[in-house]
Amino acid sequence: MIAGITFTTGYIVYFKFFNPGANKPANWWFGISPEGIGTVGMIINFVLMYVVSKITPEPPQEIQDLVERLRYPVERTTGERKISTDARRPY
Amino acid sequence: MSITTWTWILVGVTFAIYIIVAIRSRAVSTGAFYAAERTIHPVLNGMATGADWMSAASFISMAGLISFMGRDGSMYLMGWTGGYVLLAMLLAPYLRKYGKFTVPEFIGDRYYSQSARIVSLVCAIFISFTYVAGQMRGVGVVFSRFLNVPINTGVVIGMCIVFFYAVLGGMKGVTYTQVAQYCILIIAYMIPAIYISIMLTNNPVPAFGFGSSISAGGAEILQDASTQGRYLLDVLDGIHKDLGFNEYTSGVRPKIDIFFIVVALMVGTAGLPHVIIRFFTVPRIRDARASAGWALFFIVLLYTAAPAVAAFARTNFIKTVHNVHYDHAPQWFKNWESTGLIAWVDKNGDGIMQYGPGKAMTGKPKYTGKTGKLGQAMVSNIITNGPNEIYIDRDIMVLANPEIARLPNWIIALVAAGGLAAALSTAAGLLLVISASISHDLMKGVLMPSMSEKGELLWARCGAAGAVVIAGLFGIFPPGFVAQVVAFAFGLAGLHPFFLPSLWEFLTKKPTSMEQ
Repeated sequence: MIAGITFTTGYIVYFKFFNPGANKPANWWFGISPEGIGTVGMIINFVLMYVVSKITPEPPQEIQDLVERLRYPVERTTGERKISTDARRPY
Repeated sequence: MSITTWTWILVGVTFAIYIIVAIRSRAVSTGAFYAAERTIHPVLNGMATGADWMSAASFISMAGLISFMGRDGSMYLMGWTGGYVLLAMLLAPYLRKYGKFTVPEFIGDRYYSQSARIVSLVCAIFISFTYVAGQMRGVGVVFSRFLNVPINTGVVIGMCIVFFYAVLGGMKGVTYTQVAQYCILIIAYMIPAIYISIMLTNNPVPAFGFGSSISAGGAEILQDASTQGRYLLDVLDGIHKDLGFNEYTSGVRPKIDIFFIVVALMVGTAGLPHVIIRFFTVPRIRDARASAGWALFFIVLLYTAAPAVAAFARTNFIKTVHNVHYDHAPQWFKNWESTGLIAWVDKNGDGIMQYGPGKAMTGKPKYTGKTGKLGQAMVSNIITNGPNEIYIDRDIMVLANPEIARLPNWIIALVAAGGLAAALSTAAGLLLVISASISHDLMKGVLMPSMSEKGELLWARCGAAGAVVIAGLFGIFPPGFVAQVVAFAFGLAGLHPFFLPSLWEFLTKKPTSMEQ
């Protein structure tokens, strides 16, 4: 997140405050304005996140179970799918 | 009855509705205060989400933005509605399945880290406070424009109303109030839009009237018989070319820039905390996705009318004002001259109002209090050298629209009530995020985990009250860079740590760890 926000903030600050005279399409990176550069920041976040996830240990099993449980809105039982109807159960 | 009297009546009635709803929706548990006891029907949640999302910016400013930007303004329409597609597909049902109360709580559990929870709640509070500053200021501006009340007094009145239903009812009170506010804002927006669409094109659906041809009655209103039978957008393109503007339908931004801005707005919208928490309030997991769909439907009702309102207002404005002698200027022009939203400087002394590219003067009009030889309000601004003699604020495209169309006073007053509904509904949602972040995430989650439910509810109410007061102060003493900070808040929401790993997990089926 820090990587993406640093890149995005730096780009915006440069064109909006530091050098506003250069804030023209001809000077933008690939024609992307400061208003749209957040998308590139997000992509940078994604790439870094992928790299970090490959070189760091997996989260604990309970967290993996949490993610697995959230991914599927239906409860899985052996051999059949059971719909979770009691949504008022807190968690 | 005058516009001011009608406005007081309609605003008074709508405020009474909000207070009655708040009294009947009192929250007596944390489940009710944070998540409305998860009893909100998806359709009602969709309406509340629509009102929560559509602030004064959507109601007042967006049509004006589009009327000046033309095709490029469509990036706001696509981005802000596209975010709901992301919410429905990638976030809402998974959050509802998680089942707790707040986004920082999810972050804390998912990353098994109190630090992550604290970072997330700081982000949520920062986003919400910067956003709510603009809303409270918008409430004050609407009061000053329509009710001749000082802006700060309007802010205080708005604070009192929001204080009542946010502190008393929490999410439950805010939700049902937002449903009422949605009804008011959509009626207030659509009635003038439908009326003008019928006047200009004989089509009662504004979105279809946008693509229709000018009727005989429309040509008469535009004071140009040659427009009859021609498509509205063709007429507008022709007008733009004649005046030296780019064609209305062509746009100036590179397409790659439009694409990246749309994506940024989509992701930012999907990451806004006051929108995300709305999906904790529905009974079932499938209801979360359904309510996102309903929210999109209710938002689209306004968002498809906005470009039509923009085009109608732009065409009407240029045709009835450009090259018209000031003595024959429409009455709405003279009515709004004193508000600072429109001004004319007779650069060449011919008494005829000329509109064109470029600024008529530097900055916003600063009136001297004197009038010119034709009775126009004089300004002390530096006059620019270009041909354009008219300063026009973008907000006037919605605020003055009913007057431009010569609608009855009660409809003009309804626009004020609708603008207030839009601003107050969003402000309430943002204040709830701040309240929940303080009471549930900071106090209960980090500092005082053994706090009782009664204690937590007290902290929630105090947090809401404190947030209302601080938001009101932001409205009375706004930071000079509100617009830029709101844009930064959107950017921060889009990079909100929650969104990316959820999307990542959806794509790769492997949880990520926190070290990044």
